[in-house]
Amino acid sequence: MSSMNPVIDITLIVIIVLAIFTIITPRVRKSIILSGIMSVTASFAYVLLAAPDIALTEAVVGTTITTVLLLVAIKKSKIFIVYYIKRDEVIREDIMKSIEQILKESEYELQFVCTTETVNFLKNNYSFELLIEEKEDIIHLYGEYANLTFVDIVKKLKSEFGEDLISSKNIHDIGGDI
Amino acid sequence: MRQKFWAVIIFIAFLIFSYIYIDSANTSSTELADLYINNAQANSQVQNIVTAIYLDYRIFDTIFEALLLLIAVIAIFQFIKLEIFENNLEKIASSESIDFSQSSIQRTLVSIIYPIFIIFGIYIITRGTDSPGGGFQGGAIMTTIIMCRYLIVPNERYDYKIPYTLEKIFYSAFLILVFIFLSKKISFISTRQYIQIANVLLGIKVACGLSAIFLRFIYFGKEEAEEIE
Amino acid sequence: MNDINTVEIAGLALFFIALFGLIARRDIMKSILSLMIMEIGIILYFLGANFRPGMVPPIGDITNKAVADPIPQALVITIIVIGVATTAVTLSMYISMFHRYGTWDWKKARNNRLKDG
Repeated sequence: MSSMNPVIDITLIVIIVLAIFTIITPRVRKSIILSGIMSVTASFAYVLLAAPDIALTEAVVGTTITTVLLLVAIKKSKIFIVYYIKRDEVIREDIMKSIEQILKESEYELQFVCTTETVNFLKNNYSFELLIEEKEDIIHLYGEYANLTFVDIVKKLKSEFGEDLISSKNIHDIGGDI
Repeated sequence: MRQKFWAVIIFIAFLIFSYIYIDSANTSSTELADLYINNAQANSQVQNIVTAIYLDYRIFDTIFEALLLLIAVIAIFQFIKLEIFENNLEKIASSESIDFSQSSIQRTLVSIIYPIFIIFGIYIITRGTDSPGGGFQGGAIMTTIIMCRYLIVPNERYDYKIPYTLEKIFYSAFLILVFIFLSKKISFISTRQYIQIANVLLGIKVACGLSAIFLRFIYFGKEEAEEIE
Repeated sequence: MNDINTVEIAGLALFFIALFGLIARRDIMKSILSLMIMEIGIILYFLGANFRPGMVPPIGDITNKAVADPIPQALVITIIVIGVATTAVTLSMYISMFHRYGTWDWKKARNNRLKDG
């Protein structure tokens, strides 16, 4: 082997160990921070390999921009949008409380909008995860069955309020006027 | 057990590749590198050979890679929909918009440091000819300005359309400059001046592009309840 | 034994570690991080291609010194900035997918997708 500088060898070993840790940790936030540390170490390795331009770029981009983008994406992806169709200006507080309880367990952020439009209008023009409509003492929940959170909410509301109070439908099965 | 199975297979593939590498590794000839090292500093009148390569000898690579960055920004603007939350952008920064859930240590220290980033970014962009630096590096540094501002005042209204249109204007200016430089009949600037101006335009273009990406990410709604009729 | 560079072997090892992370992990965020590790491994391979200890960067006064190869460095600078843009595009797809399926596990999302109409 051509004899490399021992400093370069130690830096490369540190990079490999950090990479193994990044992939193995079960928690996501820990692995993002470890990847930021790995970028700084790699930038130091680029200085030793006679490439100062690249070291500048990697130190700024890998540490600040990538880490901040990943953390912001994790925080902003956990938003749950609920639309509530109001009649008679009354909102059922108990339903909202149990929904909030489920969402708190998995760190969701609740986005709640009250409206008086019809279901078809909302389905065609806006995007949401859960639509609550109160009609003749039955509460209709509309959503997509592929969404695991929606399925959990429906199960919990049915177990709390009884089967005949809640009805749930897939949003894509609605056709025509309601 | 499945993971151990895949780990064993990948380890065997790594051994195969490293055997092939060790078997065929020999010092390659340095003919191409010598061509650039011996002639680039005299022909381009700059001391930084790397800048001379990506702005003078291989200019077409740089043009298309800058175009790739522009297309990535456009793709992000299509993926994230902002239909409902356009109503949230009416707020103007005031003293009530300071979010007290952020720690005050972070706010104070970041507000002291971020003017230094502006000076550092301008320094790296304009010193691309004689020392390490250049357009891409300085552009990445300038985007941390918007990020620091977001860390200090998260509730202020940031107009994400401004960097989005500015990027295209600067890219067109960069293309016009390259065209003037490449055509032999109407060129009236020397190589060194062309590299200096091209670095500045490229740096601002990259800064605008990455800022547009960041601003589009942070807008995903903050209001708790809202009425639509 | 011919001339072997430890830098190139380290780059190769990083690439294969990231490949394991892509195959054997179910969280999509881990896949995105594995792509970034692959990029670092490839850059290390590029920079170690003709490197001998004691070389000087190709900037400034370079008479009578061994100078590092300038072409890989010029190509790598753009790779890093575009890597950020690609990561941002994959993150926006991640946000949309999380909205639709409510999970970050690609196996569960694929099974759920077959249930949907």
